Amino acid sequence: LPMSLNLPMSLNLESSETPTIDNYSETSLLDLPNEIISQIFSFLPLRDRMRMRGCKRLDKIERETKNHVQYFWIEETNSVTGLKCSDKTNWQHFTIRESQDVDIYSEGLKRIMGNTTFHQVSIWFISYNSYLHNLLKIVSDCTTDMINLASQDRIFEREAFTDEFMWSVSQRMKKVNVDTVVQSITSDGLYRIYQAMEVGSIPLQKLAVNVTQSICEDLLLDRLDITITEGRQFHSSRPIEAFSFDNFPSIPFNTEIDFHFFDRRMEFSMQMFIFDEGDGKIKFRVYDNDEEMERKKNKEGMVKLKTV
Amino acid sequence: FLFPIKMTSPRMIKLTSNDDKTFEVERDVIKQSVTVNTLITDLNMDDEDVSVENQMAIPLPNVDAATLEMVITWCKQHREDPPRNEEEEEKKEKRTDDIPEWDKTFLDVEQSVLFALILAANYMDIKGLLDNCCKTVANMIKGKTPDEIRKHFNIKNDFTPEEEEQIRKENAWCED
Repeated sequence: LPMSLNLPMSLNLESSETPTIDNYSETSLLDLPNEIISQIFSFLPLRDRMRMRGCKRLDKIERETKNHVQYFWIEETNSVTGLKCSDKTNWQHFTIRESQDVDIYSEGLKRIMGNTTFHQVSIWFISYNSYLHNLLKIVSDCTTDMINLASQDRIFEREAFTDEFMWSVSQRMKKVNVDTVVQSITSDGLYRIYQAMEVGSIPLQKLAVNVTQSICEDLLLDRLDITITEGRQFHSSRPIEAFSFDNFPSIPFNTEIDFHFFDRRMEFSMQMFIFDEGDGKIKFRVYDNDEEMERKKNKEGMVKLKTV
Repeated sequence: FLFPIKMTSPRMIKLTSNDDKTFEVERDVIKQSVTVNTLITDLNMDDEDVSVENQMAIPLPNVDAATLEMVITWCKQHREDPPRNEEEEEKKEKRTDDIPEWDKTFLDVEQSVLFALILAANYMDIKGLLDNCCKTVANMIKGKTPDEIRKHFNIKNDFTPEEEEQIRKENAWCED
């Protein structure tokens, strides 16, 4: 008889946890153990994953299944069709349609953020209202390596991207990029982040923001004590090395100013257009090792400024 | 050219389903089942010089004959697969568009058959089969509305009206 095998206890193939197939023809999805349903969830893009929660048990399993999304794009759109998750591009879209009741979107976002980690989160808002502000607050608590923020609304820029907000995202992310002018941020707020990056008390390694010219100057002159004079010479009381970067040395009238200051472990860079009255882009970067920093200093196009 | 070549026939293993059907399968094919492989090794079945007729059959009390036959067919097809590195698999991006063509056709069966196969693959610990089955189910889910999903998989909506409302809010962003 084939069943006469006398198995030691540890090798007993009977398992109380695995459901026995009693009736072959009636095995259904909900007969699967939780860990397998969880595995199925892990293969679903967010959109389908959320829609799969058809009953209490599935809802619970989804909540308990950790998720990782490489690129997450939160976008407010006024187009009717919206954007759909695409499996091929790695990008997953969270689409907010302009409507009266935007607040319901925060429920979905909260649910997603609860069990999901991201590599990169990008946000694009086209208007300002307090609901979008709430969404942004939820996003600032998410677990992501990188965040890109952009808006085409000036009021949104002013209301949302404050010192407090920037400080809060700096506590959680390695890389923050704001592709819009952060009008409410102060040089105090930026310098606080700069110092925290330098001593390594926050995880942030790269920050890029667009700020007004006066903020740039405040940072340079008051905080970092850097003065640039004509002829591309500079002065500072700090142990700073300064470079200007010329991307197109053959063009005689280069309208771009691109300064890089190396201050101990930190690089502070500033890009502006000479004829542009307003805004410039500033970047902070902290280096873990000297080699990497030296490589940046020796990059082609970098010209060292004389100290006065 | 007819030299008498001494051939060692491949070692065979006997498996018995829960409805008492016995299958003979090559040792080298069934090693893909971690459960069966561990059992063979632990019981030193490899060392025994026993003909297949006299060999003990390994009982699989959670798998019926039809499913076991499918499992064996799959294992035969995948016998040349490189061994899986589970650490690497964990790191890989989760995608469902990489199911081999042969598996796609093989797994194009009624869902009850597919779920029985999943249970068997899980029980017999055959990761490659389990993965491709789960991906196949994921592909069945993709693109369907919540109601279509419920209907397709016979899922009973047991939410209270309050819970239902909460789910509706959470899904507002992914409504069509």
